[in-house]
Amino acid sequence: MPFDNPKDEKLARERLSNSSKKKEEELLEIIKKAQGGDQEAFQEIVQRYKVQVAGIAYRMVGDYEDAKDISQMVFVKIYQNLHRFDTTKKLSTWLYRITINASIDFIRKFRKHKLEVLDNIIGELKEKKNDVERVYQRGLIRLAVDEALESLNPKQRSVFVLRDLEGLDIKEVSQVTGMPQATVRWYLHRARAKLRDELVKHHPSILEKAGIKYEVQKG
Amino acid sequence: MRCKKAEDFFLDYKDLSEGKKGFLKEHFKICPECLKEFEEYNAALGLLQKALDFKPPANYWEGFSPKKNSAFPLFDFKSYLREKLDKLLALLRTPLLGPVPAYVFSVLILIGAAISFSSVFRSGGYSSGGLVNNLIIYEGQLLSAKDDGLLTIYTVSQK
Repeated sequence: MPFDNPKDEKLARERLSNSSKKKEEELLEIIKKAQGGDQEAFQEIVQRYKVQVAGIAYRMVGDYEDAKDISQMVFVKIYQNLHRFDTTKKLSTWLYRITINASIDFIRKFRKHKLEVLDNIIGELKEKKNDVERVYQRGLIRLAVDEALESLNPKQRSVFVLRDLEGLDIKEVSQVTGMPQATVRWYLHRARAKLRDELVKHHPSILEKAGIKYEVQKG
Repeated sequence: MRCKKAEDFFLDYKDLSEGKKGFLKEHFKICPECLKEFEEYNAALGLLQKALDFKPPANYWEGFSPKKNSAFPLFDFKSYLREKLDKLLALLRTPLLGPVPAYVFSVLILIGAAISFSSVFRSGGYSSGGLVNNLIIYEGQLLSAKDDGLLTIYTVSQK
């Protein structure tokens, strides 16, 4: 937000910092209550974080129902281990770590990555001749994305999901996964190279058909 | 900048320093192929981001209530072992110098240790001050062995 007066900007920043500090204190209070066995406080944590947890699980396994099951398990695990949580650390980092581990366990058990809903892409399909064509294109895209994600091992998939899909920075990814930052960078580089090989080299027509274009900033 | 380096750079564009981004942009000005590859890569990334965008159905959260007594076990020995093994394997896979994983160094160290041990055996340095532990009798039969703490006396029958 642009400010004409530097004083206004300083004031706005202070207000923002105060409000986030207040939110952190409020969350800490809720965590402490939940650690003491307060069911309502625990439900509050569930309500606050369920979308993030299910979102990560979905990006890891590619299926809404599986993501929901994983999220349920994650919150049960959190409930059982909340007394061990160190309140000086970030709750979200701990939640992300449990979610990633639960998703990796799930992938190891059931192997396949499934991508169930692709309506957000289907809407952008250039060719909309008829339903048959749409179903065919949908199948092609689904196959390409599935194959691309299948080519990643669980660690590569975790760092890719956290960095490139969730938007966490390298330091946060390192904290969540427990890997050194250099290792995170290495896994990330390998994951990106594999995805590029799978999608650009093996399925070049898919990108065109999905109608996704990326504008490079020139200059 | 070479094209191979540019490829490494554009894959990690998000995490590059401003200086490296500048080098890459300079390279794009003289190399349309790399620019095209960069655009394709970003299109692929865009496809994945859209495909994996989390938009659950309207009734998705209905009945979502983690039950404390549900299926998640408190302690699963198999998972515990697997977790420990994974940690150990991750440690071995951790790159030490760029793409060279730690286990390559471990194997080299083991080979070195094996070579040095074999040279010690060959030079006969394994005997302990003249005391023969593994007695080999070529002729005759061992009748008795007496050890007084300083000296071991073997009695052997003549053939």
